[in-house]
Amino acid sequence: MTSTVATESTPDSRSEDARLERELTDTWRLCRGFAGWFCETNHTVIARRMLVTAFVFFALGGVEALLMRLELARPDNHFIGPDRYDQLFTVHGSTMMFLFAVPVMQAMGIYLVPLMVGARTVAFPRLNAYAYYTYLIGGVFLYVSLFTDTGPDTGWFSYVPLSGPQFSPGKRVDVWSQVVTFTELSALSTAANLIVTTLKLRAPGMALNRMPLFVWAELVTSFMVIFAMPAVMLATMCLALDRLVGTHFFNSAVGGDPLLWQHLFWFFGHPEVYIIFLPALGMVSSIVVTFSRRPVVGYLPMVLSLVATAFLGFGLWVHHMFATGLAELGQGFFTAASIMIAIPSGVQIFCWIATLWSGRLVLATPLWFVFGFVAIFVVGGLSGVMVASVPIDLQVHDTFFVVAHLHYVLIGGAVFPLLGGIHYWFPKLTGRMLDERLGKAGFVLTFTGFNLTFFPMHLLGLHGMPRRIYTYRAATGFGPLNLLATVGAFVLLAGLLVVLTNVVRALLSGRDAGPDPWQSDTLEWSVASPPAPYVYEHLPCVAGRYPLWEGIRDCVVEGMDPRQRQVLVTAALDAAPDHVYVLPGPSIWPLLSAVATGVTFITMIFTPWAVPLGLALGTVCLVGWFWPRPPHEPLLAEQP
Amino acid sequence: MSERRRVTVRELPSYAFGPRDPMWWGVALLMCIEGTTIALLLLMYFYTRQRVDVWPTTAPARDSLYAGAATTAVLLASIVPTHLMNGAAYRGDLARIRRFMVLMTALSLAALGTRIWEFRALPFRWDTDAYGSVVWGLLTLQTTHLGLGVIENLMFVVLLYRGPVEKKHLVDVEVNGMYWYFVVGGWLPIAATIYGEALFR
Amino acid sequence: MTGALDPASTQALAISILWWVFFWTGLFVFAAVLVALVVACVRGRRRARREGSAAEAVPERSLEQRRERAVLAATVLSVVILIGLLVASIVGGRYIYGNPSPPLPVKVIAHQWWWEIQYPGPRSSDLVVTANELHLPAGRTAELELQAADVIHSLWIPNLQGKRDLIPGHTTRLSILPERVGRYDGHCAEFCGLEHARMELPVFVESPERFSAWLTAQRRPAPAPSTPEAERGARIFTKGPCAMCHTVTGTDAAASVGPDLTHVASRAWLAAGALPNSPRNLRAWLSDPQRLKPGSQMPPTGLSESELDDVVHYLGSLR
Repeated sequence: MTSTVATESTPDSRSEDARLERELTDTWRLCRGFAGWFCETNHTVIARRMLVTAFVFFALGGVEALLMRLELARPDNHFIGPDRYDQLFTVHGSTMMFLFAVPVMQAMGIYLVPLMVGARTVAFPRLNAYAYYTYLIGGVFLYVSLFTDTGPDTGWFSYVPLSGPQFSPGKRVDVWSQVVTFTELSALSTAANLIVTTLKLRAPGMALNRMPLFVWAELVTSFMVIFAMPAVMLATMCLALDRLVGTHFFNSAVGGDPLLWQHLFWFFGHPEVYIIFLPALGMVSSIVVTFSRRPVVGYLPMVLSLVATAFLGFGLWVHHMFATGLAELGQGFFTAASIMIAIPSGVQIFCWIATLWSGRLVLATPLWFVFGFVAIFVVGGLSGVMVASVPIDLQVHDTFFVVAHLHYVLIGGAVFPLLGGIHYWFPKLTGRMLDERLGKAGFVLTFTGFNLTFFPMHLLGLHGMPRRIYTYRAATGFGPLNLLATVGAFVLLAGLLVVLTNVVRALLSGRDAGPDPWQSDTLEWSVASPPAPYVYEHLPCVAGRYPLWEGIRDCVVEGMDPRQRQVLVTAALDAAPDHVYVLPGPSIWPLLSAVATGVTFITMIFTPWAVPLGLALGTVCLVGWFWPRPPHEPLLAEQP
Repeated sequence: MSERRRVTVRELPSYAFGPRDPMWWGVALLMCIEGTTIALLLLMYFYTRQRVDVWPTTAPARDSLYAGAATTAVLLASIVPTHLMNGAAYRGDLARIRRFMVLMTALSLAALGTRIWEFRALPFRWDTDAYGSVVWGLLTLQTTHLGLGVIENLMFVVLLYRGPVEKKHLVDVEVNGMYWYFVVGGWLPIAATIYGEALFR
Repeated sequence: MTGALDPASTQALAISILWWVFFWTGLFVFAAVLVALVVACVRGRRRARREGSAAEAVPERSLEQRRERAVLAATVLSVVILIGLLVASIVGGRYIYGNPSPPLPVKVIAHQWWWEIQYPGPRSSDLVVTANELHLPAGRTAELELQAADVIHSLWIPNLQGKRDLIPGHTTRLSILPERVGRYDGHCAEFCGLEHARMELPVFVESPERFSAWLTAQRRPAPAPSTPEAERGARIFTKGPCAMCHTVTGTDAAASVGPDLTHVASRAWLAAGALPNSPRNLRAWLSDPQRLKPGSQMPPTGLSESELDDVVHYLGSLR
C-alpha cells in the first residue's frame, strides 16, 4: 500500500493541486451566517472560542483577585466585608482552576495537537463542540450567581460540613457543585478527544517516539484528567445529594465522614495541579527547541519525566491533609512521594538548560517568558519541597505561605509558559506577528509585578497570617507587606494590560507572519497561518522528531478523497496508515445537547423532577446526535 | 524539482474493528472514567465501613438478595448474545446481528426491571444513614450505566431494522457490545460488595 | 511580627530549625539553577553570534552524550539532596510529637467563631471551663485534645506548634512544651465561614506558679454582685436572653451555646479577638454584635441603655 515514486512537478500536477484545494475548501467549508455560528465543529474555530472564553474568565478571576488585594491592603479594612470576600475568593479559585487553567491548556491542545501530529482535525469534532458549550454554560452560570450576590462562599475546595446542608443553607454551594460538574464533563470530553486524536490520527511515520514534546504533554495530561476528574465529579455529586435529597455521605452523625470529602477532593485536586502544569511544560519544550535552534537534549528522559510526574501526581494527595492528624507512617510515605515528584520536574529543567547551553539562542519574547518561568517555578518547586515535609507543612499549611507557593507554581509554572506560548503561537493562530518590544516590556512588568505580589506572602505566612481572612488587626503587623503585595498586584495588572495591548494592536495592524516566522521544527508551521479549515492540503508523513528541520515537504500522503471529510487513521504506536475514516460535518446537536445538560443540572438544584426531565432530553439528544447521515459508505449486502 | 516520496492510502479500508477504530478508543476511555468512578465509590463504601461499628447498619433483606441475584443472572446471561453478536459483526452477518441484538436488548430491559425490584426490596432509604447513602449511590450509578446501555441498544435495534445499514455500523455494533461488557463487568464487584457482605455475614 | 520563626516551644524550635535547613538548601539549589541558566544564555547567544542561527537538526553525538551526562549528574545530585531533606524531615518530625510525662490535659472545642477551653481537674468539680484564651505553664507539656462543635476548624499558634485541625466526628491531639513565658497569637487556620478572620485565640505562657494561681482563680464560682448596678445587671443577665446561651457558674445561667462567662472580666479580649476587653468595648459589643463581628452567632440583645449599663457593670465584676 505504501510506495515510493519519484515524480516531477509538472504543469499538470499544479492544476491538479489547484483542483484539490478547491475541493478541500468546499468539503471543509466553515458554516456561514447566524445559524452557522452554533453549528460549527471545526476544531480551530472551537479552540479559538475556548481560548477567548478562558481568557475572559482569567480577566474576571484577576479582577476578583485585585478586589481581595484592595481589601487586604491595610488592616481593619471594611471595603468589601466578610460575605463578599468569601464569595470573591471562592469564585476566584474556582474560576482560575476550573474555568481558566484547565480549559486554556486544553484549548491550546485542541488547537495545536491536530496540527502538530499532521491531522486535519480532532477525532471527535462534535464532542469537541459539546465540551466547549458545557464549559461555557457552567462558567456563565457561576458568574450569574456571583453578579446576583449569591455566589458560592465556601472556598474552591468547599470542605464539608461547612458546605453541607446544615451550615450552608441556600443555593450557593449547589451552584458551585454544579459548575464543577459542568467543567469536569467538559474537561473529560476534551481529554478523551485529545487522547484519541493523538493515538489514532498521527501522520504516517510519526511513531510515538517522534511525537513533539508538547503533544506528549497533552497526551499525558489527558490521561491524568481521565483518572483524576471522576473523583471530583463523584465528590460534588455526593455533596449535591447530601444537600438536595438528604443523603449522609459526609455527615459524621450517622456514619459519614467529613474527611472522606477531603480524600476525594484532593485525589483530584493534587493531580489537577499537574494537569495544569504539564501542558505548560510542553509549551516550554516547544519554545526552547525552536529558539535554541536545536533538538532538545534528552528527549527520552523528558518523556519519561512527564509520565513519572503523572504517576507520582496521584500518590501525594494526602499532603493537603497533614494537619488533619492522619497516622504518622502514612504521612512519611506521602512526604517521600511529595518530595520525589521534584525529580522529574528537575530533570526537565536540567534538560532545557542543557539545550539552551548548547544552542544558538534567539532571544525572542517567548524565550524571555521561559526564563521567567524557570526562575519563578524553581522557587515554587522548592517551597513545594518545604510543604511536603510534615513538620514544616504543619506550620505553613493554610497560611499565606501556601498562597505564595501555589501562585509561584501555577502562575510561574503555567501562566508564564502560557504567555510564552501565546507569543510563540500567536502568528499561527492569527497570521499576524506580535510586537517584540511590547512583548518584552510586558514580560518585564508581569515578572516584576508577580514577584512583588507574591514574594511577600511567603513572609506573611511565616509570620502567622492565615489564608482566607477578610481582614486582620493592625497590631499583627501584617500591614506593610500586604500593602506591598497590593501594589505588586497592580504592577502585574499593568504587565498583563501591555500584553493585551500588544495582542489588540497585532490583530488590527500586525505584520504578516507567513507560515513559519520562527523557522520552527514541528508540523504546524508547515501550513498557512492561520490554517485553512482542512489544515493540510496533502497530509504529511514524517521520518523524524523535527520534521521541518529534516525536510518534511519531501513526503506526502496521496489518495485521500477530497470530497469527503476524510481523516487518515494510523496505528497507535508506529503510526502506520490503517484506514480512512469519514468525519461528520457541522451540527446543531452538540449545542442542543449542552443546553440539555445545562437545563438538567441547573434544574436539579431546585427539583428532583430534573432527573426524568434530563432522561427525556438526554434521549432526544442522543438520537439526534447519532441520527444516521446519508450513507456514503458501502452498504451491507443484504438489506431489507 | 525534488523527489517526493508518496504514501498511497487509496486502497485502505474505510473501517476497522477493535483498537484500530477511533470510536473503540473513545468508548474505552469512557469505560476508564466510569470504571474509576465505580472504584472510588466502592472505596467510599469500605472507607465508611471501617468507621462504623455495626455494618451493614441495616442488613439487606432476603428479598434484596433474590433481586440482586436476578439482576446478576440476567446480566451474565446477556453476555452470550453480546458475544455472538460481535462474532456476527466481524463476519458482516446482518441477520444474526439483528437476532442477537434484539435478544440482548430484551435482556437489558429485563435487567432494568429486576433493578427496579432491587431498589424496592432494599429495607433502608438513601437518607437513613451513610450506609444507605453509599449503597443507593452504587446502585444508582450502575443503573445509569445500565440505562445508557438500554437506550443505545434500542437505538441500534431501530437502526438495524430501519436501515440503511452501512459497513461501518458493524464497528459500532462491536463497540456497543464492548460497552455492554463493561456494564456487566462493572456490576459484578458492586453486587459482590453490596450483597456478598450480607450473604456471608 | 512574631511567628513560626520565633519559636517559644520545643516543637516550634524543632520545626524552625528544620525550616532553616530547607531554606538554605533551597537557596543553594535556586542559585545554582539560576547561574546555570544565565551561563547557558550567555553561551548560547555567543554561539548564535558566531555561527548564525540556522537550525542544527542533528547535533554531534559525542557532544550530546556529554550534555546528557551533565543532566544525569545534576539529577543524581538533586536526588541526593532530596533524600537528605527527606531524612531531615523525618528526624525533625520526631520532635513535634514527643512529650515527657506528666502532661497537662487541656480540651479545646472550636465553635463558629470562638474557642471553648476546658481544664479537667482531679475531681469533676474542678473542671474549669473558659473561652477564647489559652493559658499554659512554661516547662510542662500540654496535651491538647481537640474537637469541633460544628464545622472544621484548625488551631494554630505559630510560636508554639504547627497547626492541627478540629474535625466534627474526630478527636485530634496536639502536644506543646512551651519554653518561654509570653503572650502569643493563636488563630483558626481552616476556613470556617463568615467570621473565620475573627477567630483568634490569645495564648499566655506563664510561669508554673502564675499558671496554678490563675487556674485556682478560674475554679472558683463567679463572685456575687457587690454593687446595686451589678446586682441589677445580674438579674437582667440571668432572667433575660443572655442566660439562654451563656453560663456563669454559681448562678442560674447555665447554657452552653456561647462562651462561658464566669470570669469574663479576667480576659484580655472579647469575641475571640474581635476587640480588646474594656467596659466601653463590652458595651458596644452588647449593643450591636453584628456591627463589630458581622455574622457572629451572638444576636442583638435588645437591652435598653440603662440595662446595658447594668449588665456591663455586672460582667465587669466577673474577675
